[in-house]
Amino acid sequence: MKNYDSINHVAWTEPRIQFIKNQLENLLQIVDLESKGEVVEIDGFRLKDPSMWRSSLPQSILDNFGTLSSVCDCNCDFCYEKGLSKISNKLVFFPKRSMLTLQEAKTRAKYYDPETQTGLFVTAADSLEPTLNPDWINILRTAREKCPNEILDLPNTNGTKLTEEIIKQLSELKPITINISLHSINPLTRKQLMHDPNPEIAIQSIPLLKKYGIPFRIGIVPWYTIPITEIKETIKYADHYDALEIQIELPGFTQFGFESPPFNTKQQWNNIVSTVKSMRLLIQTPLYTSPYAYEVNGDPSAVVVGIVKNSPAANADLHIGDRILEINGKKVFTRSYCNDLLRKTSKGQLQIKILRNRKIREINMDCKQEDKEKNLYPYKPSGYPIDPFHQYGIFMPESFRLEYIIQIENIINNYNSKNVLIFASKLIAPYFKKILQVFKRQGHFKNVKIYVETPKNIFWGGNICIGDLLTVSDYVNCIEEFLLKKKVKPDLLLIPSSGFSNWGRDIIGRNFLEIEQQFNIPVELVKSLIIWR
Amino acid sequence: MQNSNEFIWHYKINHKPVKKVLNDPVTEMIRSEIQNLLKIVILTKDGNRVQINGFKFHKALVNDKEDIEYKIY
Repeated sequence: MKNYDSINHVAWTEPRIQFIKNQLENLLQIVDLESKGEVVEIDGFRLKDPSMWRSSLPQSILDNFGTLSSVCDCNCDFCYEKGLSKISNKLVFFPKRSMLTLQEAKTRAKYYDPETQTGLFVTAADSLEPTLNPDWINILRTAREKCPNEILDLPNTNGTKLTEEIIKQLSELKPITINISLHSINPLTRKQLMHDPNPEIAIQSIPLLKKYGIPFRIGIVPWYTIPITEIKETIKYADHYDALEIQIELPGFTQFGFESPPFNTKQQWNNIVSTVKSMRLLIQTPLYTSPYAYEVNGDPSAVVVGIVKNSPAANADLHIGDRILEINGKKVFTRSYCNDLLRKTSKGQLQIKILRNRKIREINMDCKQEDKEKNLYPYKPSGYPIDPFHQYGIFMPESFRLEYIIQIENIINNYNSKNVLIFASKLIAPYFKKILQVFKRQGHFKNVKIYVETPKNIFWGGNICIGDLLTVSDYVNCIEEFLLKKKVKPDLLLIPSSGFSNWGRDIIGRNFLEIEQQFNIPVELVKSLIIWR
Repeated sequence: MQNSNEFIWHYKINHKPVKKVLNDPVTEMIRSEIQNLLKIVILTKDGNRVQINGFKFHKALVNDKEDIEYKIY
């Protein structure tokens, strides 16, 4: 008997399949289908020609493969999965505990085009521990065969299966990078907090990854039960073994996982930010909090947050805290723009103008073409492409982009709007309001009244404050409150697109256009990227 | 919404369909919908392909006299 694929896994990314299912079900309510005069029973359907279902959105081959596994062998106290079973009927892509099969991976590889980086529609499912998929190495091999030169960025792993034997197999698939949810190097903490039965495997995987020349990123959730001293030790451990990056995820909880807050968010987050800021200057690995916007109050200025070891940036006179003003004569305003510029800039000499201690300086950075076999781990391990991460070792988390303001202005002009309600998350709103004022003083948005509101994350509750997790119901609630409070009906609503699928659906599957139908006010999505790195 | 300077993809609707098979408009609509769906999907039972070439309305919805089989193609 065929195991059917869950329609929920495509509802977010390819709702036309759900539409077809609905059409067939509606038809079968009123007709019986026949073959040569005999009624036939139908219980499913499949796509006739997969090539008709290619997505135009570029993505890496592993992203196109989708989730390797929706199961986990740990049970972390801080896992966002906690309590999700209470709302499983609401979440569009709530995991049905599926594993990507090798057959599906091979089929997806067949239809994937490495040149355009496009392939079949993605099936969205919760991404948990990939190493529990018994075919995970073979799936990675399939990706490697199809894309011999692409750096494969492996999905996050808790490291429980990263023995030397496995790491050795992974090294045969280079160039790859891997992301480890380490959290702590104290075996007792991993046992108690993560319920990891063999904590030494993950902890020892770090020096092994370095031994086998595989660049790795470390994730740490500094849960309130982990002493700050232990977090510092874990950071130092990762730095000692030359991690590419260390991400400190500000701990979050939802209303589904905890009936009451397990800790004081402001106190805990500020404590962590303070620790990270001091540690950042003591180690040589990029270290940042996530969402980074919290640490900088939404400010997108292009301040260097980290410098990758053995990179051109490490060899130049660039420091953490330097604010980049220009690159090769081009003015830089935001971190994201700076990252984009570095990715496009050709190798050779880079002239970088910076602000340091209130003084402007010129830095020359030598970004010459290095021999492919030269080992500059972790920036460019032996055999890896030149400048594999395209930023010459300058690390800055993504940020708000000024082009969003231009986009907003264009949309307002298209509608000839006079009263616009724009939504911005708690983390971005303070900066966004300031930058709007700057643009207004420069003559933009003439005769337009702009209201900026921050919807509450009611759906998730807890201490969730990320705009990318807002749902249609959160926006609806915010609009209702606005209309009551301001007694003004806007003629246009603008919502950041980053929280929606490319089909405009939120995490529960509701389309943003429902807002337009409910309030009879035009709604547009402002194309924006997820920045809660 | 597209602005006035952009190319707009706009498709004409024919009030008289190019190829009508059945006279009753509702039945024809259903026939046409099934035909169009079969261009992009294959129907299955227990994972095996099922070939379809006709349909009829559920008995509860029609009189016995109207128990008619309609061809899709």
